[in-house]
Amino acid sequence: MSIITPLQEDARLARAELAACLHRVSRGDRAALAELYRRTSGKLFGLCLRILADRAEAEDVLQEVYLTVWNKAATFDAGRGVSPITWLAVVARNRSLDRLRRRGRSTAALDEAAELPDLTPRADAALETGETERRLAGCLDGLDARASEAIRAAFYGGQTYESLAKAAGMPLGSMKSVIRRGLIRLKECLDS
Amino acid sequence: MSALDQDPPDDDFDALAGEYALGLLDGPAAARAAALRRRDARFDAAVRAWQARLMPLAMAAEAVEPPPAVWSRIAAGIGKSAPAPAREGVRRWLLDWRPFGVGALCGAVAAAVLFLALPGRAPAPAPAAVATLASSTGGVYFATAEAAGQGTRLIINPLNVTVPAGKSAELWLIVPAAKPYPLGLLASGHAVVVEDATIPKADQLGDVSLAVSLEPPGGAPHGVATGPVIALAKFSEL
Repeated sequence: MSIITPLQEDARLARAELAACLHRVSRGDRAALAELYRRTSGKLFGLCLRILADRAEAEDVLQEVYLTVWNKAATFDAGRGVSPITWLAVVARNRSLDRLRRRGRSTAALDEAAELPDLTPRADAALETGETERRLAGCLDGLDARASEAIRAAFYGGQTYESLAKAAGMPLGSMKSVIRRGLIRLKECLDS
Repeated sequence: MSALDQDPPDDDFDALAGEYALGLLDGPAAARAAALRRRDARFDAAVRAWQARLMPLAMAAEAVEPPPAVWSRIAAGIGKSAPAPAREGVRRWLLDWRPFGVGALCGAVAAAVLFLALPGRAPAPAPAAVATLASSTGGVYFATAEAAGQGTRLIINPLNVTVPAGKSAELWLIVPAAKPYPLGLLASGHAVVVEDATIPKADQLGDVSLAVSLEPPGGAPHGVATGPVIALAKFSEL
């Protein structure tokens, strides 16, 4: 057993562990859900809080997220190349944005969402943080500032083209054009 | 001026997948993209690729430990009902377990590798939709829809719901341009499974809603709702 494990190896193992955990959850294993919660709830709660900026609502949504996971873990398909944490983050983001829209405040938080995310590297390899965050942040920062702000606002604030155009005082077509160009550039930067 | 400074064409697959994954589209454009995702595996893969690309934004939010009450509520929610579909005869959850116990490790690496490498495992139920029905009389019904044979199976999980004494909670299917269709009575203490040929296919629930109304014991007479609607929610596709 080597003393220094390469970080990538850690991440790969951690990802396989989370996938195994989800698989056990799909078979009705409550201990596996508890373990999944122990390992991921901090990150997902952070995401819910970031989107909702309201503790009570974020707690409600976090509860919905894990109950959804309990019921839908069988639809997670490791064979399709989706990492477990991505799957969980998509569920948490969608549930949070649903709540935000119901609240009718989907046009709020544009400024807040446009703030730079905290890029402090984290230790838990299971959550694939650090390097991938820095890489995405680097690529986003290379875009037209209007595009990177809009992408962050859409991600954390559930903004649509329409609400973004309105908030920025830009014609809808121009906003679409800026963001679509940004997305293509972002993909090229991340995939290169 | 490089090619990247040009607007991507309207039918640019990756731009559309990115717009869809970010939720920038609304109304008919979002519905068209959702439909494309269902029928085109390549587009579905492009959306997943964008979800993975954007994942670091989700992870960039600082981790915050949720209060213990959240886990207590989740544990209560899953304790009341069996997960569906049940595949194991022996309920593992009857065993003593603690949420933060040392023994509750998932990380059996051998098992993980076996799982990832196992080609012949049963196909997962088709990805489907969920609806969260927050009741105005307290509590929440979590509804999930999944493909079951030719039809659709709904599983309704109640969480801390209360129904006034002398009333029954009845579930209704609401499809645009059709009359609300009664799907039966809900329980407060355990999950209810509903299979009915009237329910659209699990991947076609984008415009479909569920509602819960308070009815006389035994349900609405003549299949027409009489009581107040205590919960109403549209399905969200997962």
